[in-house]
Amino acid sequence: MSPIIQCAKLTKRFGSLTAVRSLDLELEPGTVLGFIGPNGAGKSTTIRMVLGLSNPSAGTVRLFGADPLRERRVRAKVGYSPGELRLDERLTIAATLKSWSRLRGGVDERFRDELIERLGVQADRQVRGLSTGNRRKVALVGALMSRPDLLVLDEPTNGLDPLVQNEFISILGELTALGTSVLFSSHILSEVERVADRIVVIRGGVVVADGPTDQLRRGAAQEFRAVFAGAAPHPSVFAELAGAGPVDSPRPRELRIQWSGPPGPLLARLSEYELESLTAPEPELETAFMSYYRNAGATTPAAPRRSAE
Amino acid sequence: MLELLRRGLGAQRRSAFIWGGVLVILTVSVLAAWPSMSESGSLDTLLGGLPPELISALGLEDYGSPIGFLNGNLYALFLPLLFAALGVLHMNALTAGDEDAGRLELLLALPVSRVGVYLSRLIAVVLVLAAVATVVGAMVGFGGPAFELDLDAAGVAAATLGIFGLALFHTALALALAGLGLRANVVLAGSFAVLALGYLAHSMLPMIDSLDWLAAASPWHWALASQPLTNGFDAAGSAMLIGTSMVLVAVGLLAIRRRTIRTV
Repeated sequence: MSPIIQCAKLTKRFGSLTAVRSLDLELEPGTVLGFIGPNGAGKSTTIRMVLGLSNPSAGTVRLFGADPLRERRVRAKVGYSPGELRLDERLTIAATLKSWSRLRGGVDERFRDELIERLGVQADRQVRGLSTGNRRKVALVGALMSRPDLLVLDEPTNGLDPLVQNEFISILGELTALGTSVLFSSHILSEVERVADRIVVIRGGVVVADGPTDQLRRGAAQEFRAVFAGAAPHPSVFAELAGAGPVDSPRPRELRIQWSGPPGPLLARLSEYELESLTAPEPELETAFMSYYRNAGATTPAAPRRSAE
Repeated sequence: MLELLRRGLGAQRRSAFIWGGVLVILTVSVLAAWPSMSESGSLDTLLGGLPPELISALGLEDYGSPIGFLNGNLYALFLPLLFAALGVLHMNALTAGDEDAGRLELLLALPVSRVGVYLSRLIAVVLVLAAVATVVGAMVGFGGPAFELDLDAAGVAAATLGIFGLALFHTALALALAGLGLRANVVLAGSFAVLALGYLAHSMLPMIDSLDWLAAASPWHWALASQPLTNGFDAAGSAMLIGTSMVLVAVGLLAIRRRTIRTV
């Protein structure tokens, strides 16, 4: 089956600024792709090119095999919630959703009403005066209500309270179980970690990592927390080992050692001291993310790195 | 397309009522002033001291007659100016204004064509202009006799059509500039600059012998130079207005098809 989104050597320049640089990106059917990076990394610019809202300076984009700028019908298969949300202030929420339904066509009104209820949208309210979170809910209902083949979500939980965030993630799970593919752009890593099968990390418009979520997490530096029976040895004892990253001493008897690679040499060195406890929590995506960012910062951004899947 | 048109009309509803109300009040005020002005007999005396070129430039020829009075107070300047402003402001708000505000992005992410969005919005503005022009034209045509203004209905219809055509031209200009990707304030500045320069060319250049031929390049000239209140419908002028408007609309639609939509 051909990819739903296929970007090849995608580049976007704004004058002298290159927002996206020779980006290769593919989204396979049925996949939830986490698209992460800090503000200004080029996530929204990429998304706008994928949806045909912005012309690439170079490279190509195919959406369901078609040029999204020329083939408006492919957008009928896409539900989109933009990062910067601007709704028509003159309408009520109900009128907004009704208008989107008419323009989109094929919306199941019962499912729309179910979404309204589950996300706690007050449909009779005027858009003017809505909080950021309530506007976000309207956009999410609009994106989800047609049960699209592809959801493109740019910072979808911005402004949502935790209860609604959970409900949204739950709805997303139901839709992906039915085969909906998702491009999930966010800088909230814990959230991406919950939903994404695969993650692409972007920095300065360049892909710096691309792989299954678990693989990326495992590829990150592992933190070992050693609590010693007596005073902790000097951090340099461990920092000198090959594979060691930063070593911190948050308390007199404790060391936190960032470690990459097989842990044998570290464990051997630790065994020379009397330990009270040694823990190694499961690495979080955030650790991986920071690690990729640090590494990418040391290399030229013109060379995208793609890990094997 | 119908939903887009419905949204375009809905977005203008409040403003259209306000503009319509203001234009009706202005029209009725001018009509109501005629009986007392004509009875005083002072209108021609008042203008007697002005040079004929200036009187012509200000559209005040034959000011003591019903047609001259109506032309000088409504059809030579105020109505064309206000109608064109209405078209430009509404067209700008629905195109460049919506894009600047970020609303166009969400709309264009739906399965609608850019050309369809722009065309439906143009139609919505033209419908509002037509509705307001019909009300004002009917007010003058049917209300004139009530205020002792003896007018030719065909002349009133032709003059109203002329100012509608002038408004259409400037509306199309605003659409073209928005289609090219200019920001809303630039679209407004450009459209109003053309409106003002067109008026100056139409009214002032005929007073300069070496440049009087340039007046024919003004849209105001196409709409009003034939004195439609007196002489009726001007096919050539209307054709110029419609033809140039179509070219401007085509430019706007071609430009919006492939360009990047601005973000907030």
